[in-house]
Amino acid sequence: MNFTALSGSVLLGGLLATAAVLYALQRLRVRHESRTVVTSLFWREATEETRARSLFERFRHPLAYAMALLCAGLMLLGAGRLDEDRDEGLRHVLLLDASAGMARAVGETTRFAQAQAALAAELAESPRDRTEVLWCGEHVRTLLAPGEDRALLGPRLAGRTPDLAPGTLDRALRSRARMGDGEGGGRRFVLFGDAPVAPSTLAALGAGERVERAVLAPVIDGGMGITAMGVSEPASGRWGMVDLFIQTRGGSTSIFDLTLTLDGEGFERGGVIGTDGDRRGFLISDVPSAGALLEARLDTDGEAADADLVADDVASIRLPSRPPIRVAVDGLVPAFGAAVRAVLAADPAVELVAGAGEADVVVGGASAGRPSLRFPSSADQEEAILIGHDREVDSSVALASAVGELGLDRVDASALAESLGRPLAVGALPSDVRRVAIWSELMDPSRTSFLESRAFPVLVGRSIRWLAQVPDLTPYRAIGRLEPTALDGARSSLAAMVTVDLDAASLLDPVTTAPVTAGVSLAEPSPEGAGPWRLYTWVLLLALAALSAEWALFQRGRMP
Amino acid sequence: MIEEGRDPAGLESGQLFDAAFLAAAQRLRLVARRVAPRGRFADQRSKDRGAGLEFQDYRPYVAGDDLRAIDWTVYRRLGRVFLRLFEEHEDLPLYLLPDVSRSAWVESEPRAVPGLQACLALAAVALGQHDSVGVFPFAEDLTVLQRPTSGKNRVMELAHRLESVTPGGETDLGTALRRFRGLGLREGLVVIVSDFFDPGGIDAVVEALSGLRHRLLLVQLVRRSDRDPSWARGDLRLVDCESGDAQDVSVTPQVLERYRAAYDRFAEGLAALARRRGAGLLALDVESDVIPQVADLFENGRREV
Repeated sequence: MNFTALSGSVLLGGLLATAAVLYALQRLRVRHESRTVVTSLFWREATEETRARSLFERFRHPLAYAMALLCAGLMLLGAGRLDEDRDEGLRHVLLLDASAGMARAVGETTRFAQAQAALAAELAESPRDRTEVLWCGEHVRTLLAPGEDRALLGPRLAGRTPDLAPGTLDRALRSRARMGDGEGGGRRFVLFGDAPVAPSTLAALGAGERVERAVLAPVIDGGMGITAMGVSEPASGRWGMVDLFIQTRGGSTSIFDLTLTLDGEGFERGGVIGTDGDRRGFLISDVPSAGALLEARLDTDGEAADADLVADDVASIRLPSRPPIRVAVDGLVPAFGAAVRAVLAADPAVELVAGAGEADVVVGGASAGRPSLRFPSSADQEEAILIGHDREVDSSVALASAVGELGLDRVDASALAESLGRPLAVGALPSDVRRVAIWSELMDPSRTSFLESRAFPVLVGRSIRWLAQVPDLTPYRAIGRLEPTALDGARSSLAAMVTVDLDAASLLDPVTTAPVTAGVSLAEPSPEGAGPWRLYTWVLLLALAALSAEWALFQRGRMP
Repeated sequence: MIEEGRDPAGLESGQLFDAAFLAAAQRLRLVARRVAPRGRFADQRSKDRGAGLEFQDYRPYVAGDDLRAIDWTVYRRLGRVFLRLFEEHEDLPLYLLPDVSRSAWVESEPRAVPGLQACLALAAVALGQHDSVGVFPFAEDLTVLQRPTSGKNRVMELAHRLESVTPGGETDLGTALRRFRGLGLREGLVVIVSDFFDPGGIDAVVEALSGLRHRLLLVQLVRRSDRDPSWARGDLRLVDCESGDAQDVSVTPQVLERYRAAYDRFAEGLAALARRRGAGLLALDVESDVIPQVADLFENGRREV
């Protein structure tokens, strides 16, 4: 309880109520201790003018009442932790960093627990109606709204652990800065955690706003962990393989090692491809990509590399499964059939099969209900290239996507149109199975030079992959980075990456892995009168002195 | 210290007196200025002139006088017949009135004990000089424990009788002394041994003693805590051991001051009474030895009453 959260009238009312209760108690009939005496003669004379207290008799002990009221009032104020409110109207925003880095162990406790303790201490000193507590984990949430009872914070934080995500503390601060100080009394932001604050964020704050960072116990550990992990198409071009990239931060190559396993089996890996400060990149080429789980573990002589923050010592990723695309070729005209066959034969992702029944993609002939790449005559098809896409996708979106996915952007359409003497169009329509239809006239070497262009094998190869719905590989992914993913332009969040791509999410952003707080340094909270000698401490001492004085007076018989 | 619920049970044999006490008591001497006539022969000088040993005066011879009393030397010198008058020695009746009311017994160390010891000491003195001694314990009324009797060998008998006193009830000095006057005893020395805590206060004591024509010695049984009740603290319900009246008191320094003032007024009233009556007053501290205090009453081993 803090009486700075109460209005003066409520406080005064409480004191008056105490005075009234004490007054009533003074007027109550006292319970006498019975004693037998030789004679009551002299006592009767002595008390003729000073009869004992009884109900509704005149108030007999005003000084004793005043002393009792003084003691009770001081204890009331002391227990209520009366304190000065020198920042009249100032609103307090307490931001609890709940990012993954706060899970770091510090001795017997964790960084997060330290932050919680500091938050609770700060909260106890802040006025309830002007204090707000924010959770800055994966998302920013309000933990305690202004005016809510502080007792609610404990249950709301019970059992909570930091989110496995980068901190949003700076984002929350920036957001609050943008919202502005509505009441104009000024704001004080207190950060509980290690997440950095950008100078630009501080610059966005208003004149009456300041940012402080609660002092937590220093972290001795230097911080070391895996900060990025991803796969990409192999540089060797080998189908069924991926290149694996891992980035670490902290430590040095001499003190840690990276252990890689595929479904628990170790395999040969590449070396360091580059360093940038304490960041280190590892490239492992031609990792068999057959849906295995790849796990990277940071070790130091067999021990965990970063004992304080184990979350970033292990990362794993499920490698994509990429079997060869079985392609059946049938019914191609001799004019370009050989060229198509040559492209398919050179494609490492393609396995030519004889029958359409065994094929994933059919090129040329009857598709038998399978995805197909066909070459119809311009008489049969209005568009030069027609894409039959999944029905759930809008045709315009599918067409826009196909430009890149099929490599259509590499086709010199102007030259081809001029050669054919007619405009070329690309169309898309929904279809039960995917299909790509290209004018046979485009493929005629007597009319165009398309077969000789570099776009031709690209178009064929990508069409085969599009038709077979081969999943894309994300060349590089790291926590803290955004990337375009879906056709609708939506961006996957960091958390989505963690949950979708990584079985055991462990990738943390470099800032989280490194405990050294980045960003600008901030002032520490320094509430007026901080320390053990706050106002309520003096009030409690005064109460103790008053009680001692009362006891001494009572012992000397100077107080009833 | 009051023992709550204590029922006065009297005294056990030998509790009051021992040989040393009696020996010390008998070294004292009680001397009356003048005793009433018509008593027995004893050591006290009486108003009568008679066959005593101590010359007192001459008077002319008248018919019928004892010829043995004529001072022939004076006759030879003056030619007139004078009689030599000698002081008649008679006894001084000592009437002991010990207070045996409940207030004398309820304390853990009953003040009745030193009171009875004082009685016996005075009785031993009186019996030792052939005076008669009567004992009349009183509370709300007076009883005759021992009619006036004399004889040095009666000390032990008297001691046993004093040990057999029965604790009484409420103090009523007026009634007790009226009953005493009704006994019609010869004028003597009345010794009242009491705390004098009459419910009527000092006025009742004064009134009760006003009709008493005997010589008087007041032995007030006092205790230090009577004036300074150090045990009194806080809110108390004080129950009078005799009347059972309850008095609620919130003890404060002011109340204590008024209490002491009331006690002092009482003590001063008792002293004033003694002065008016020409009586002796001994404040006997019941927490100290009795004999030294009683001895202080006797200047040079004598006490004139």
